[in-house]
Amino acid sequence: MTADVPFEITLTAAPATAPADTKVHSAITTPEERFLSAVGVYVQHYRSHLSKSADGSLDDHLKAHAEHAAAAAANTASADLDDEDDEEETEEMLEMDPKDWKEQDHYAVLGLSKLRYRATLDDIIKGHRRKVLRHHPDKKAAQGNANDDGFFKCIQKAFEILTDPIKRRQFDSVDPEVSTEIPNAKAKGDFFEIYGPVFEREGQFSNKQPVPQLGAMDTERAEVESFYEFWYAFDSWRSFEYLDKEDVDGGGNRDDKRWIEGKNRKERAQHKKEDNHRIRTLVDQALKCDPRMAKFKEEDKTKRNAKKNARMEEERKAAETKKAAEEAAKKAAEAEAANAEELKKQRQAAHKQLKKEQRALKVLFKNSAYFVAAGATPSAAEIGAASEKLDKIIAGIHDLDALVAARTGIEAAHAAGNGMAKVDEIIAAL
Amino acid sequence: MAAADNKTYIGLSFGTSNSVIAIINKENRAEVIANEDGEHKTPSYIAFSGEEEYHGSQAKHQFVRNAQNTILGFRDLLGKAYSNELAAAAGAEGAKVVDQDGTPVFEVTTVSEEGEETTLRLSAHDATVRYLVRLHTTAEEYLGRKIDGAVLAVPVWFTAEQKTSVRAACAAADLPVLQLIAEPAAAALMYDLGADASHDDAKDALALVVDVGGAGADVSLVGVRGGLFTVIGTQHTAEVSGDSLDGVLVKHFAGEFKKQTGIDVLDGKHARSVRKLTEAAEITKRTLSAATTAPCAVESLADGMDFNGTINRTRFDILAGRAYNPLLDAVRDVIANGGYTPAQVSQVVFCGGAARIRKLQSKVALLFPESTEIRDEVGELDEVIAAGCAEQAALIAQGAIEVDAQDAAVPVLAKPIGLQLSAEELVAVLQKDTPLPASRTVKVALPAGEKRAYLAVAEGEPVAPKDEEDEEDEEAEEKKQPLYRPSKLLAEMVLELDAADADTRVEVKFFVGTDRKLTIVATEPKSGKSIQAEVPQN
Ligand SMILES: Nc1ncnc2c1ncn2[C@@H]1O[C@H](COP(=O)(O)OP(=O)(O)OP(=O)(O)O)[C@@H](O)[C@H]1O
Ligand SMILES: [Mg+2]
Repeated sequence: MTADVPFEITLTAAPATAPADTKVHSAITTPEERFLSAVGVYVQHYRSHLSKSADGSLDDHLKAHAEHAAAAAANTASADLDDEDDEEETEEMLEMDPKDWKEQDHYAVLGLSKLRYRATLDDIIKGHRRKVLRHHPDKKAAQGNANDDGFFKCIQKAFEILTDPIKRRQFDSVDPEVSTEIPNAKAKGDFFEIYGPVFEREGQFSNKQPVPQLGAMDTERAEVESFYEFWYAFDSWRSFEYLDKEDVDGGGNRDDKRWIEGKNRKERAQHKKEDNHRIRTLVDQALKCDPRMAKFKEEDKTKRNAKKNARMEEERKAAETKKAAEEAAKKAAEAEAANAEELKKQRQAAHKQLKKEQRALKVLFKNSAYFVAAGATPSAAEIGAASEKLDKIIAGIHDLDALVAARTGIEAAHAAGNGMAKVDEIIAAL
Repeated sequence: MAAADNKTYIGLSFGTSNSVIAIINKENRAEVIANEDGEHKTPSYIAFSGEEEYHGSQAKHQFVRNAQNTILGFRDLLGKAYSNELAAAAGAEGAKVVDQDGTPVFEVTTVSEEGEETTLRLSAHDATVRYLVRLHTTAEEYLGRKIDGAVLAVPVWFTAEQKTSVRAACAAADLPVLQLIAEPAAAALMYDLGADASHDDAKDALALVVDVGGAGADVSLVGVRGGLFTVIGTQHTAEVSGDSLDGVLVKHFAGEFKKQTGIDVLDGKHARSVRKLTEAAEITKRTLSAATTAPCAVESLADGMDFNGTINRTRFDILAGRAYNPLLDAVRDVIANGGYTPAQVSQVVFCGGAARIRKLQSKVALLFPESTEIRDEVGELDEVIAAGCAEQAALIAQGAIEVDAQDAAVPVLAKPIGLQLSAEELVAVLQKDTPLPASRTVKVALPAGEKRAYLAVAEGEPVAPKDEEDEEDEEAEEKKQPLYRPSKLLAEMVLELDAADADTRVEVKFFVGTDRKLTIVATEPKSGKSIQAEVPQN
């Protein structure tokens, strides 16, 4: 907050009637009742808080929520601390001077040297309680060790730092017990065993949580890609105030102070830059060594090839079908032509037959002496009339079978002596 | 997610017109799923044709030709006793509603393959169970897993009987209810109101939830205080709804058709034509939310005559103009009844399918000053409530809230409490309607050259926004108008500092316990100087 930006709320000057310290005027208006929706993340804290705050004097639910959220955000991998998990203090630790708290391993002091950044708020509270029980000055006094509260002060300092989210981050940023090394670029061995723990460790500094896992050989490609995307855009809260040089003798003048401050600022920036570079190197290196990347490349290639092959196969098939279709068309045309030829032949044959039959009928007429009375010779007029009838029948019957039937009918009738009657009958039926 | 790692929970909004199912996806976010017809919304319709039973869109499509065997509006009949008026209203559109031992039941006819007719009587409960069973199956088929529970949204104005009936129907449909929540609370959750509240910023807000559905509109004023929601007031109006706007279009197109053909389909003798026209008009209305002009075509609307019309958005807005008035009245009333003016409403959030209409949104927005945020950005508006339910279900799965937590009455501040800066201005620190106990802290600067921090702690009353029209006083316009003016002085305090400059800040913490005692603590962190006052209860 700089001075040149007007601040949002600025008080007014005290009036002449203002009290020297405090003056109470009037109670608040009687509260009303409303229905609180049992919805959202806060309501549960409020409800349990309300039941605890019997005298109504407790602070509100927001604090309870903040503590809960902090505990949940911390990695929950830590196991419940049983007394067996308690760590013995080393001689060296017990003799530490609380003034040197910056050198102190806060996690070890609370017996959390294995969990470290993975310790939850709950773990810290438990560890603290356990150590306090053992090292409280009252207890020491009872054991005859009066005035021995040095380690107790160390415990309190550790607790103060580790329960303050900002201070804890500052300490975690430079925790000397947590390695900052990155694997050797040519390291031999299982990629996931080498890089997995390193990414998990570095993930603690991420502003964005949860941090994606490195995964395994069979992790989906999209997941692998988003893993690297995440790490290339890594947003770290790691900071280096904890390493600040202090104004050792405390009595430095303003110039000295300013000089130290400036130097600290520069150093913090330098450390941060180096750290960013370190992460970048780690990610570059991992990407290069990641066997899945090679696998994906290979897959891409096969996919491309498969595509190409599929295209070629398709083209070949298309050509084949085209050829087949052409052949089929040709055959069909040929068949049709043959068919037409056949039909033509049949029609010609039928025509021939019909002609033959007509001739037979003519012969019948002639041979039967045009159906005049037996033995008589037909006159020219009789021949003419019969020929006319013959023409009518020929013109009237185009069906071979019908013509044959007509002829045989006439033949039979002629044998019975009444050929002409049959001829007339047939003509009448036309 | 330790509490219920392997439980499958869903969110469900069960509306008069449509239902929507939302699941919790892998990213732990709400995601609306499609039903068998590939739609996000399942119309709340059941139809019987021959021996077959149809649900959702398939049932809705039958309504035109098979109205007497189509059941609709069953949700709002749940938990209600039979009366003639109720039967007349509920049975006006689809299947007939008759009295069965005091319970309203729908009467439909099914026909077997042999042509045998059977009368089927379904109460609202029976219809709801059949409908929920389908939805339940849809969700299970989508997820490929059994569902262990659902969070359902119901209107705020649902009575205890109506809620009991919803629970009974869910039980009969074998769908365990994790919680019934109020629709505006679900919307508040989806709009992230009060999210990330903390001591540094309690994210206090006053939100007006405007939900315009198919059958009516709900306006609810929701207090958001330190992440807690209280519904301060609510109003329902059946006059403004998706259906009533369909009616506006039907009237318009019926007029055009009459001009073209001389046939008046609104003469009371053309029920089927009206249904056809309504079906088409609804599509026209929805199209107008996306395009500036929209067609309305009905084949063989009446006496074999086709209808082909178009309308542009401006025309529709003019026709519908007055239709929004009851909604605007409801908005004004809810705010005033809650003891506020539009100026204190920090955001207006929209939901419900018909809230997509831009004119409706802008008419509501015009009631508020510019400082009020107008929001509709959380996705499809008719899916907001279902998604909110799924978010709540996710919280239950994480153990952040217990199963079947109930809304409960709590004490809230009747007036805002804050610092009086002048006779005309109060900065509210603890807002009205904040559940107790509550505390808030503000940082204040001292006036130039002063070493004494004078704190006048007072209650306040809201200041109405200035009329947009009287803009004569440009300068006054420039200056931000205070939201509250002091109404009752509670305490005065003076904190004496040894030195102060422009960077000096005093932290003032206000705390009210359930004992109604107000404690104010003012601290200057650098020097550690502090002063405290306690205002006892009456
Ligand atoms: N794009 C749109 N433009 C205008 N109106 C729309 C649009 N989409 C849907 N609607 C309307 O919204 C209404 C349905 O809204 P919604 O699905 O929210 O109703 P509901 O919640 O089931 O009903 P209710 O709230 O009355 O119980 C219908 O009238 C529909 O026509
Ligand atoms: Mg609705």
